[in-house]
Parts: sequence; C-alpha cells; structure tokens
Amino acid sequence: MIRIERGKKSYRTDTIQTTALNDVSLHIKKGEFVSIMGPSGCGKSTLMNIIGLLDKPCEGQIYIDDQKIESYNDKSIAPIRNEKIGFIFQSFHLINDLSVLDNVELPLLYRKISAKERRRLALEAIDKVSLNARAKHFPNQLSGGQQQRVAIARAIVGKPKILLADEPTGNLDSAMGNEIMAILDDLHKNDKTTIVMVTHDDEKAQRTERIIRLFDGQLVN
Amino acid sequence: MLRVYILLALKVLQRRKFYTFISLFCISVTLMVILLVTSLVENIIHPPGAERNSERFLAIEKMAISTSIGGRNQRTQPGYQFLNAVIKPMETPELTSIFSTRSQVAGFRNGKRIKSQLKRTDSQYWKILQFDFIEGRPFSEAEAKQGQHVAVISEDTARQYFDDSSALDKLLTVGGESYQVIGVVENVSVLHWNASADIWVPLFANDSTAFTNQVMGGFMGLIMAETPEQVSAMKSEFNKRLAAYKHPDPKRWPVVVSSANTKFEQIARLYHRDLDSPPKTKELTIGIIVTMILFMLLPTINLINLNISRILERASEIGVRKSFGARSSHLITQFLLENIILTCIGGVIGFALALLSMYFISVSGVVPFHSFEINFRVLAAAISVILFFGILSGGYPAWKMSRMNPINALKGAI
Repeated sequence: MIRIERGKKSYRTDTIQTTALNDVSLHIKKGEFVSIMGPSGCGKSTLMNIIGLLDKPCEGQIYIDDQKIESYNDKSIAPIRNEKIGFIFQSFHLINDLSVLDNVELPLLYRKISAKERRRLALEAIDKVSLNARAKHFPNQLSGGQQQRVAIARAIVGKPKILLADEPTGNLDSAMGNEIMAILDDLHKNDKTTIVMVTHDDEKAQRTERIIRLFDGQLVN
Repeated sequence: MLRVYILLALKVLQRRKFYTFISLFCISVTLMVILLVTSLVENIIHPPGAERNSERFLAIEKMAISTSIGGRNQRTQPGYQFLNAVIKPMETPELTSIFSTRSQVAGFRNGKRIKSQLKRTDSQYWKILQFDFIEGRPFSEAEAKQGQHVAVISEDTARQYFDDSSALDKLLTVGGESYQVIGVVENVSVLHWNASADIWVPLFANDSTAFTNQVMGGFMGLIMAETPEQVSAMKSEFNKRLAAYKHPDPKRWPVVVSSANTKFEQIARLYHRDLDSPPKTKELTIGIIVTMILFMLLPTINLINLNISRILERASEIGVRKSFGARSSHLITQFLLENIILTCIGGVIGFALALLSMYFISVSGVVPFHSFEINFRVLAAAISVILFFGILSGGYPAWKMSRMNPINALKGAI
C-alpha cells in the first residue's frame, strides 16, 4: 500500500544542512496497522509528511496504493491526498467556526458529490465515532477526546485506504487515549484500513501489528 | 460548498470585529465618495430634466478672434451677430437657438432685495430644452420676436416673489423692467448651465437691439439634431460654416475660432481652453479613471494588509484543507469569496451612506437646485468599485496564502 525506496530528506539553512531521513526504505502492506517510534527529532514527522505527500523527498521514490508519485504539483497531488489518505493530527486541527458536521464534511468539499450525499457520508462517519448527539456542536464545546473523535470522523469520511495518525493520543489522558485507540483498532479490523501511527507511547505502539523504529533519520531493526 | 464558505466568511467577520470595522469603513466611505462623484459627473454628462435631450444637441459657448493663427487673441462667449450668421442658416439641425448667458438682476419684495439669474432666449430654446412646467407655458415665437414683456420663472423665484400663490399673470419687476409671468418651471441645477437660470425673458424684450451687431460676448447657441446619430453631421456643418464666416473687421481679425460641443466636450473645454484644438475628451476620461483608481488604491492597499494578517491567523485551517486535498484554486476561491462578501456588505453600507449624503447635499443647497440621481450607469460604477475592491484586496492575499506549505501552515509557522 505504501512503499518508500531509498527516501532521503534534508533541510538546508544558511549555515548547516540537517538530514532528517537518510536512505529509508519501507514497505507497509495493505490493511496493516503500523506504528512509528523514535526519540524527538529522529525524523518520525518527516517520514509521516512524506508518506502523506505533504513533503517531497530530496531523493528516492514513493508509491501510494501502487501508484508511483511522479509529480508533486498541486494538480496531481491534491486528488491523492483527498481520496487515498486521511490525516489525524495530535492537536486535532478542527476549524472552530464550523460545526462538527461541517468539519467532518470538509474533505468531501473537494470532491464532485452532492451536498445531500456529503451530509449522509458525514453523518455516517460521525456515527462511527459515536458522536451523533454532538453533530451540531462546535469544537470548543467538546472535550479533547471528543474533538479527536471528530478529527477521526473527518479523516475517514472520504473512505481513504490509508490513515496517517500523528500522535493521535498525545494530547489526551489515558482513558480518552484508549478510546481513540479502540476506534483505530476498529477501523483497522473492520474496515481493513491501512493505518500508520506516530507515537511516543510504547503501550499504544504494542497494540499495532508492527513497530517501525527510527533513529537519526534511519530505520532501526 | 458555497453555504460553508458563506457561513465561514460571516463567522470570521464576527470574530475579528475591529478588522471588520476597519475594512467596512474603508470600503463604504470610498464607495460613498465614488458614488457621489460618479453621480455628479453622470448628471452633468447625461443630464436629466431640462437638458435631457443632450445627446441630440451641441452647444456653442465660446469663441475667439485672433490677429493671425497663434497670434494675439480675444476669447469670450459668442455674440449674437456671430451665432446668427453661423448657426441660423444651418440645414442639418432640426432646431437652433440663440440665448444670452446668465446675468444677475435684482428685484424687490417688501423692501427686501432678491437677486436672480436672468436669461434672454428665443422661442426655439423651449423646444430644445425640455423644461418641466408647473404652470403656464413658454413664450411663443411671436412673443419672442415682438419682444413682449413676458417671463418664465423658476419655482424658487415664484416662491420668493409670490409665496405659495400662483405666479401666473402676475407682474414681476427685475432690473428695472416689468414682465408678466406666463410660466413657472421646476428649478434647474446650476450644473446644467445651458438651461440654468431663475428668470427667462424674450431676447428682444430689451429696448436696445445693439446686441444684434455684436460679434462677441454674452450669448450662447444650441443646435439640435433630429437623432443622436445626426449630431456629427451637424458638427461638420457647423465647422464648415465657421470656416466661411468672416469677422466684420476681417483685416484686423482674420481668424475666428469656435466649437460646437456635446455635454462631455463642454466639460473637457473647461479644463483645456484652447479652442483651436479638438476637446480633450479622451484625456478627461483617462483623467477621471486614473483619479478614481488612485483614490481607491490607498484603501485597497490597506485592505490587502488587513486581509493578509487575517488569513495568516488561519494558517492551521489552510494546512488542514491542503492536507485533505484542497487545491490552491479551491483556497483562492474560498478566500476571494469571503472577501467579496465583506466588500458587498461594505458596498451596501456605502450605498446607503451615498444616498444619505446625496439627500443632505440636495437639501443643504451647496449645489443650488441640484438633485442627485442614481441611475443604471451609476449603479454599474458602484458594482465595478465593489468588485475592484473585492478581487484586488482579496486576490493577492488569497494567492499568497494558497501557496503556503501545508506542514508550516499546520505548525502555524509561516
């Protein structure tokens, strides 16, 4: 489902060049639930951004759903992000001015589907995270856990094949964190969604099928 | 999608009330001024009321005589002799009129001095200019030729001399002459200077006919074609007859210059007084457009800055939208639409302010007897201004924001 071949990423400032990823090759199978672990600054987020096509590797090749990413221009990359990938962020990144329903609908705005169908799919996604009663609420009326559930609903509303979760439980207490993990488990088991999760939490990582460890921009066995 | 964008736009406007106030203030005040100026210019170029036939007539209001081309010259209004010799024999106009420029006369009522502007006209004047008669009638050809002491007066003059009672058939004494009032017309704006006056009397009501021999001074001419399309033919004929015209003292004054002008050309001549060359209408048009653009530029730049700060505050939203597949074009559309909504609200406020100001200016009498009107052309100008603001002040920030790197946007590090 996701393949990186000899991926390299470095950042250059005026004086120094920092290597964030160094010759990383990785294969994540369809339906796999993988966690990425490693100390701060080891390149976890860079790897996630490259998998999510938010960042372009300096070298190497990326395949998403067996499709080689040839070009990173807006026109070719936006539809892949929209249809194949769903993002869950540590700090939720909900739009406070929009209701839960409108937040969840957001990815569907960039598809050619009717407003009625958008609403139906959004309500279905909200139902999956058990927030039906909160559909008309606004993010600041919800707890952290509920906000993250909204963010998950937003990530899955377009039925993407890949879910990328960047420390999804990082801002939550353990009870709420477990709720979120349960939802991710469910999506993995029942919907066969491929999930890649960055985490610092060993216990959460143990619940995934495979742990990828990074150190200084390189994979560690 | 549109519903969500509009909803979001309104929410954002409510969230940053000070920004919204500054933006709306800029837009509405600018629009108000532009509407006032446009309405004023429009009212002069395409006048309603008495000069409503302006698309069909040309005015001859200036002439110059010179010792040689480019030599020493005298420049003033045409005289009766010149106009009578040049425009009266013309064949292309349906109607021609010679009338005096306004002169101030005084009358008295209850010991109080009343100043009025008087014009002496022929009878054709009343056919070219479409005065709205409140009561009575204009003077006939016979009355004009015989120089009968009859007068048409404005509504305001009637009120000053006769209060609210009917002025018809009453005697009006101004400038030492008495006239019988035969008509009362609605007030005419001073900006419609071909028609504007307070009292109109027949050309020959004056005992002296010395003016008939004067080449220069004190008169104006109007020539009116049957249709607007025939105006250019009328202009050509005027120029031909002008070329053939000889000053009574041709040795001293071999060169006689004048021009027959449309309303717009009349305005252009106010700023470029050289009668030898054609009126600088193109330059005036460009001048008006450039002035308006410059006037709008400052608030637009201000709005661009406000919009950039406003959009940068929403970096996280931009990051999320990009992550979920929004293309730059989607984001540009969204932010442009938000800005157009803002400018439309400003537009409505500006429009209301303009109407209010027009009312107060009309009531205050700053421009005597002028009533502002908003017609289709003024409305079109208002809509263009709103779009100019909306697109320019929203377009650049939207474009800049759409190019944000989504990772930086999500981190809020722009």
